[in-house]
Amino acid sequence: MIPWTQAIQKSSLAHTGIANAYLLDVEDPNGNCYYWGSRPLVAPSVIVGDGGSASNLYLPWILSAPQFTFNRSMKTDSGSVQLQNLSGDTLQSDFQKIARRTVLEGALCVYREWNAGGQAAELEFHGTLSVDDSNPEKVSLTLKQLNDPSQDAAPPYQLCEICQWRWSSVQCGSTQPTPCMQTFPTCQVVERVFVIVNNYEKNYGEAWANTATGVVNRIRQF
Amino acid sequence: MPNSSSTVAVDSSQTTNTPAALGYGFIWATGKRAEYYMLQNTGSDALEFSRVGFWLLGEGEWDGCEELWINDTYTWDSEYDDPAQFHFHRGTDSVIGSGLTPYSIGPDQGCDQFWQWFPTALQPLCYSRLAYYGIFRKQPIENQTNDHENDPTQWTDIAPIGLWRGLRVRIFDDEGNQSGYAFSTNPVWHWVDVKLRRKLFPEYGVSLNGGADPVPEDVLNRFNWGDIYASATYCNQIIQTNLGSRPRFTGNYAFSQSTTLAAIEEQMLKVCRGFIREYAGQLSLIVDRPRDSVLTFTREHILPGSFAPSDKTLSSAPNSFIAKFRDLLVPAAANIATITCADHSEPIVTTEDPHPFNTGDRIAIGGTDTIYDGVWFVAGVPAGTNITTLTLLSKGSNYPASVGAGGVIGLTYSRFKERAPTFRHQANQYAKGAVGVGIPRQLNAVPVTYDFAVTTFDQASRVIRYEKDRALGYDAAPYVTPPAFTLKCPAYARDAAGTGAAAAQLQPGDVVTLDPTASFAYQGIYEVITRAHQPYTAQPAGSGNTVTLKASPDGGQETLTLQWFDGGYFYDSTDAGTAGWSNVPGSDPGNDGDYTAIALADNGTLAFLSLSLPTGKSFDLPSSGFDPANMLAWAGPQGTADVGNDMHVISNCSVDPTTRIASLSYEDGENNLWGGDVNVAAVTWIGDNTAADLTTAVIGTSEFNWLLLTLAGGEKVCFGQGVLADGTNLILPTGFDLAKSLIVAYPHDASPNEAGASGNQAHGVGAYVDSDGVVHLNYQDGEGHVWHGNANVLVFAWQNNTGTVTTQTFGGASWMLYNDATDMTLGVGMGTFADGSALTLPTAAGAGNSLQAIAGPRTFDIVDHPAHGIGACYVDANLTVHIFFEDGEGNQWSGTADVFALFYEPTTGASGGSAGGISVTVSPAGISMPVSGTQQFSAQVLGSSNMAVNWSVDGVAGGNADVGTIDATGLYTAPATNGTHQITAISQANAAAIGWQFVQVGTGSAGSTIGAAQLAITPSAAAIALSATQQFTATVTGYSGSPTIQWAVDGVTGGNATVGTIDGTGLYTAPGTSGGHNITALIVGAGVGSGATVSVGNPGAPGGGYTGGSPIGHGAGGPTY
Repeated sequence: MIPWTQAIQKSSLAHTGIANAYLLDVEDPNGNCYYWGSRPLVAPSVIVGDGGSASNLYLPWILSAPQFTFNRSMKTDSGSVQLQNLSGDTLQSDFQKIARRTVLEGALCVYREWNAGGQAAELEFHGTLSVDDSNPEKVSLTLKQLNDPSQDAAPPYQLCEICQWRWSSVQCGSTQPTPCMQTFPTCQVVERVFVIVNNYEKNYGEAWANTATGVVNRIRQF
Repeated sequence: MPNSSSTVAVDSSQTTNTPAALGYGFIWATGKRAEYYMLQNTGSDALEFSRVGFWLLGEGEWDGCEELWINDTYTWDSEYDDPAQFHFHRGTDSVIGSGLTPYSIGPDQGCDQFWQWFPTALQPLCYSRLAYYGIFRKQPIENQTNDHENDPTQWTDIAPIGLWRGLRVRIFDDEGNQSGYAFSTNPVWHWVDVKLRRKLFPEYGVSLNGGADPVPEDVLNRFNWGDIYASATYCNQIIQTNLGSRPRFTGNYAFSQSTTLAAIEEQMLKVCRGFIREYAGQLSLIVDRPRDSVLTFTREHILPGSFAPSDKTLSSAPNSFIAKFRDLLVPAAANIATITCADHSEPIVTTEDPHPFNTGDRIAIGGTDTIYDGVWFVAGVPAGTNITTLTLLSKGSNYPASVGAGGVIGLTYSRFKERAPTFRHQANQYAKGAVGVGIPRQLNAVPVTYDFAVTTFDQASRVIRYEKDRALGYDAAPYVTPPAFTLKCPAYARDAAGTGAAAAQLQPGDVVTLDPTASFAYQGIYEVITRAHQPYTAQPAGSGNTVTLKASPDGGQETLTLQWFDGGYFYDSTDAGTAGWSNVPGSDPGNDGDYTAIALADNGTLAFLSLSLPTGKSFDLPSSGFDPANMLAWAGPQGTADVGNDMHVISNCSVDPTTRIASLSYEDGENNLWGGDVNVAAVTWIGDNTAADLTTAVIGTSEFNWLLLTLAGGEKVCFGQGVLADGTNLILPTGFDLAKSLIVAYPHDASPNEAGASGNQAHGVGAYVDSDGVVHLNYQDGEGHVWHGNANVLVFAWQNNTGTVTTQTFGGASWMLYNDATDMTLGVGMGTFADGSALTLPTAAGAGNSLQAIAGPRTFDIVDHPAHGIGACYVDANLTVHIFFEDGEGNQWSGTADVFALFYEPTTGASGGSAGGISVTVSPAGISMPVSGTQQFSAQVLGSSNMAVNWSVDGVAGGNADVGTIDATGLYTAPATNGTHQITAISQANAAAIGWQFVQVGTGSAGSTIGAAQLAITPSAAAIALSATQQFTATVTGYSGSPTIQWAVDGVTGGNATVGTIDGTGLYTAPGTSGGHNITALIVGAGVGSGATVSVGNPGAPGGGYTGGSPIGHGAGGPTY
């Protein structure tokens, strides 16, 4: 069950009252935040960005009742929201101004059905955006839940002579000012290098197939 | 749901020669061979033809090695075994600045010293964050023809393969506080780990001693810890199977480099009936299990025309479920006829039929219920064919002289056998098997394979039967299609049962009820599979930047797809008959059945283990996430390997808390050492500092460890461990005193040159701590010489800060008993017993299923024989205490043993136990009745739609003439003799869920007329808001006259402010704090009662909400903007 606050319970039990507002918080990869709603409303935001305001004005761009589907399976929960694409000037719509200066595909978003009486959300959905702005009047947004493991190749590592760590990451440990070349010779923290190297003779020891035993002549001078 | 066809996880055997990208649980793997050379021309014959190499297991911090085989021969059984030849490195981050100079022998990621044997041009590496092992070994060929060190034909390559404990994972409590970081087979913690490791928090450090970096708060907030903790706990619960006790769900799998996160998650979900739910950015892993309906639909809720039955399409559904897995248990290869063992010799096993074992084989014995259960090596097998005997290599002590038929033997190397038992739904196969008029139907099997990676038949069978029955309905005659349908309802449709829950709160996986008015044909309990949410419809008004929505008066609607839900398919028992093979009971790696877990405050857990080991061997922690660093351990001598020398002292009897290797050395006065079996007790824990806090104090000149614990319920107790010299005064931590403590001691070490000892032969050894807290460790010869040493002291103490601890003396032992907040009773006892006497348990211990006991020698008789060692010191399965000494010539003499015992059982007096989320309560309680009288009992089943129970008396189904009989309705007829009997109701949905009451026959008044009276409470369950009211109604049948009903809350008549109050009419007023409470009603004077439950604090109050037949919802009246 979706947990509801007592205020929402009380509010939702009433047969009259202020209709829920649909609120959409969006944060694009460039750090820009957008707040769109089904009516003009100042409400607390879930996404506030760096140094942003805790509450924001939600522009009344949402055109219709968003619909969502939730699944008891690995199938992705999703929803659809339509925005107006008319406001703006004669050259471009307001939405186009946004779309052309950043990327909204994959933007982090939070959709809420905001119970103004209870000052809380009756439904809250966190996801990523997919944008279809082919319609000159409406923009169709598809919201997909954040947990979508089908998009993730699980092991990002392939052991080889190229170090797999992101330079200066915790695993790497480098604090140098310039990046390395992801190789052992350029490694700045050789204890942490995440490679398999074998620079002895022809390197045949790295073959993944079974290899002949290497014979070490201990009295030979290298 | 997990989809087997999309899973590309590979089991561990297929990761040979590749590093496992991710490896969880127990993994059978070689790893990628990264460097490998043979030494030659070294100038040393001993080094010639030695092989040295590294094998890369996988990324991340692995826990350790269970066993390592080289060239098909069992070689090592611990990562700490033989450090000259075998190095295991966990996979932590190497220390920056440590360089690449070979010096480490593990387990850290320092550059391994084996690099020194490689060519100097070969670049040493630390393999930071990569679990790996190195081997430096001169490997002889099988059946050497000579032992010449410089003969290359006699030495060969190394082909290792090991059983490894995989990745350590983070453990959390229900509030998201990390409570542990350890190896675990719990698939829920695997899932959390893989989400963190591969998605949410991939860049973190792992240090050897500090573990993994803490998870940032924003990442923690991505999880619903309440759901996750509940699921993890459910997986950890120990259930009884036909092959021993084990956690309900475990996961063992290794994943290749080329797979997707989705496939990995599906594998983890599959083994535990799990599914993922995400709400408001928080992830839950829900393990499917019996759970309560949260909303009841009536006719009024369903939008006209929207109810659309859509039973599952079964015509093309798979109906032949193949459970593919590799068997974690050892397959049984022979049945045991007898085991015999002459004094201090090697046991001889006789099998019922010819066996396949050879000399040198490592075998597992199980099912004898004796000390012979465990792992052994075959010392010899007679020549010839059709051999039915084998000799075991003694582990070093004396073993039972004769054991009869029972038990099985298997070869441990046969573990991980590929299995694929098929579970057929014959009713469905028959249903789709029509082939023509007049022709009998054929069984039409459509197969589907579920790959469970590495598991046991028990778990695979339980999960796949769940999948089968959930998909197709029960395989029964007549076969009925499992119902499913869709419906639409107003978003604000309210639960008809009055909880106040709204349809808009439903989530997939929630359970709902369809009452008869909604659909007579489809009434029942269902699970929400999909929810399509459409809020109130609205039309845009205005244009451009001033567009607004004009709301319609309806409150929106929900479209739900519902599927049948039944508590009966959550199997907790094994369908053993379908295996087609047998396993050796208890042959699982690790230790998941032989410990007692005790609830601590803040969702902490303490595990207490008692076991025995041959000297030099290690023991395993439970595989449910106990940090190996959280360890206190005690050791005492259990036996001796007789080598013909007289004991002067025990020079060492200990267990290393890091390696968990036990050691025992007897010593004579001539530097001769010999070993024997060791008794071990240990505690390990999960939890925060409130639950468990380890401190160290100095007593005398020794450090002493104190583990301060807060039990669930608030009682503060402690365990103490340390080595103290004879005569030392033990000082307890602040808040504890000797009067509230139980203390035992074991010989730890002494020197043959101790004062008084030099040149003397001991007749025995004994250790104890007296009532003043003074430690004693005594040896004595037959001439009055006494000498001493150091003792390993085990302290258990309590404060009784809760005021609810009780003590009693029972069966010769002193016991402390504490009923904790989880309706469990912790019992800890200590007593001194003579050889052959019995340890009897307090009533609170029940059947003693959770009993742990360890014995140590306290005193010994002085006879004419110097002892070679302790002949035996242990408590056997029949709770008989064995303590005697022996001289190797057949002379044995007695002593006394201090026995420390611990149990943790459902609180005595509680009338039910739960399993699988199902609980059974039997009423009435406290019945006294005349002989041959009758009494009606009733059983209330919660957590399952299957309310049926099976009745028994004193464990006899239906009872009998001696204990009384009970029919299917619960009507008990007392026997003709006086006595006390236990009436038990067993849930048909889950046989592990039972309820019981005791009835005293022969003391009630004759002619009682209460036998047929029955009482029922409605509603049986309710959820209400804080301080809200709920009317309960008691309905009495079969009672003549006007009954007086006495109402109680949580056993308090009329209730109180804490639990809520209830008046004489059954009107309950909830308290101001949330929680669950039991409502009971009793017919005064009749002893007949019934119960209901109420959940306080569930959002919403009863009444109100949507009640009409047309959509009227939130926002009615139109918008005001």
